[in-house]
Amino acid sequence: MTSDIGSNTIRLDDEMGDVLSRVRQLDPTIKEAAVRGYVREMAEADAVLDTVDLDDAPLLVAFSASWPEGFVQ
Amino acid sequence: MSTSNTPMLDLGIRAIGDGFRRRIWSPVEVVQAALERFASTEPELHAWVLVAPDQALRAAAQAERELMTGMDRGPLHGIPTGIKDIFDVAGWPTKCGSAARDDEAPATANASSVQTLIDGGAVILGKTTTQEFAAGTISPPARNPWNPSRIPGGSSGGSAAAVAVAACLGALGSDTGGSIRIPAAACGVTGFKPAFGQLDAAGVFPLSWSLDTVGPIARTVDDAWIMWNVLSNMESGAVTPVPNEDDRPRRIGVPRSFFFDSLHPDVRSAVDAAIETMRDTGVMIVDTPWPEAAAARACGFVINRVETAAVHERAAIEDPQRFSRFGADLRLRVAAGRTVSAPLYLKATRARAVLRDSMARLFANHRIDAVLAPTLPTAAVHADRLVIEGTGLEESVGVAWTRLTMPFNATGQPVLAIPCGLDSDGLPVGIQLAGIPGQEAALFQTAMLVERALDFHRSYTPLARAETGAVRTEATR
Repeated sequence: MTSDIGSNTIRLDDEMGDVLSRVRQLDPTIKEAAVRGYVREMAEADAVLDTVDLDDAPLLVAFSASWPEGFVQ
Repeated sequence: MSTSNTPMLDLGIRAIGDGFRRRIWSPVEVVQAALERFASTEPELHAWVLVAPDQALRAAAQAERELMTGMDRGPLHGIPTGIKDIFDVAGWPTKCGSAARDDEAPATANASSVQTLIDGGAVILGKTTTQEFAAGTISPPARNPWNPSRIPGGSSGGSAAAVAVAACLGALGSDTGGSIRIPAAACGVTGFKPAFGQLDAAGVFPLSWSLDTVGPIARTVDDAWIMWNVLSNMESGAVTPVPNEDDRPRRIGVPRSFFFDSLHPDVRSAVDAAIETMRDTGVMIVDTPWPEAAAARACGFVINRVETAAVHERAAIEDPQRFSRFGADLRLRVAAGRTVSAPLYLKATRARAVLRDSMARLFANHRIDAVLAPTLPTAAVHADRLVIEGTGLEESVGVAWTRLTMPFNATGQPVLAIPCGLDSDGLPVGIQLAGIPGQEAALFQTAMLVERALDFHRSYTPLARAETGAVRTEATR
């Protein structure tokens, strides 16, 4: 199955096999449906993040909550 | 002898502290009353994992002696306080709500924020129930004081439930995706998520270090202000005055798209009614679309999930038996979180600065004092039927209940959650007011005006109303 989500075409079947294998290295009891749900949520978040224009975003950020000068009233 | 009809614990931190200094009542009396409230409500609430009555009464007696001899540690001196069980308190184990830490040794030092409260004279009653490692919104086995068949929200659910019934007058919580504001909304109390990085999180078990924020839960905006004031200023010894309320009309932005999508009709009605009440009292309500809200939520979600996995991954690999004692939800988050791609995590971290700046532009362009949004899309759900109904979406409780709070974890700005009314089942509905980093006093001023307009903050839970004791007033002495 292929699901087009934003710019990231997620080949869920291919990817799921790999993810499921890695997840079960840590916990063999986790159900496939739960992993599938997790992967879907992450793909959806990925697609939404693609709407953010990162052209001017810093490459490496030590995040600060402070606002840039000029925005503080 | 005449008495007030208001139980002592319901007077608020300021009035109770004033009573200490006027010698109307003492810290020992107040702590005893809190312990009685704890005893009468805890069988239904399960809000605490540890309470140390003797230790608390000794601390209260010490506070009493100090106040009597003129040694005043400030507005929390002698005030009964709860601590979420992910904060280290020296001498007590930090079990983080996890069976994997059942055998945890007592902490040898206090978390920085706990030490600040103790230095400020707060009396620590005990530790409150948390969702396992603060990763979730249910907080079992804690229950909601407005209806114990419902959940209190989480992850700081025990802190909010305990404050709602005044088993303590303030409590520490942590907020990574909404964990202070969510239970505050579900339990009808006030929660404050400071700007990211404002308070030291040392000694607090991490959930997601780029988002984790420590803050207070209290009954009212004023009580939360007092706690915030102590938490943020104690190191320098400064005590900031209470904000002077001015008559300047406040401008509050309402981003309807995203934040008002997919709400339970009762929540929409209560929040809309609150907005109308604010408008009637002179608040200027401004339509402020924030198109980046969904991206901010996604940003917080990705960072949260990846860092949660990173926090626990090594322990999970090295001690599988211990990891097997984690709850199923957290095991999934750890095991699946480590498979998320590095480019996605980096995309989220880069987007964060862009989203923060978009919020800053929103405030500047509309000249607003705060952004208002519902805190939760529904009121508290049934503990034995964890299903979201009435929003039109099929979501887990965890996803639904962080949907409206998480965007502000991404932007990192300070947010106050306050109650605004009740739904048709008599359960609290809440709003959140997001402000400008570094201008917390202004946010509290705005929230105090809103709180006064809504006049919900003196509504007490059915469990707390069961308390019948009246208190002495100055006139009775």
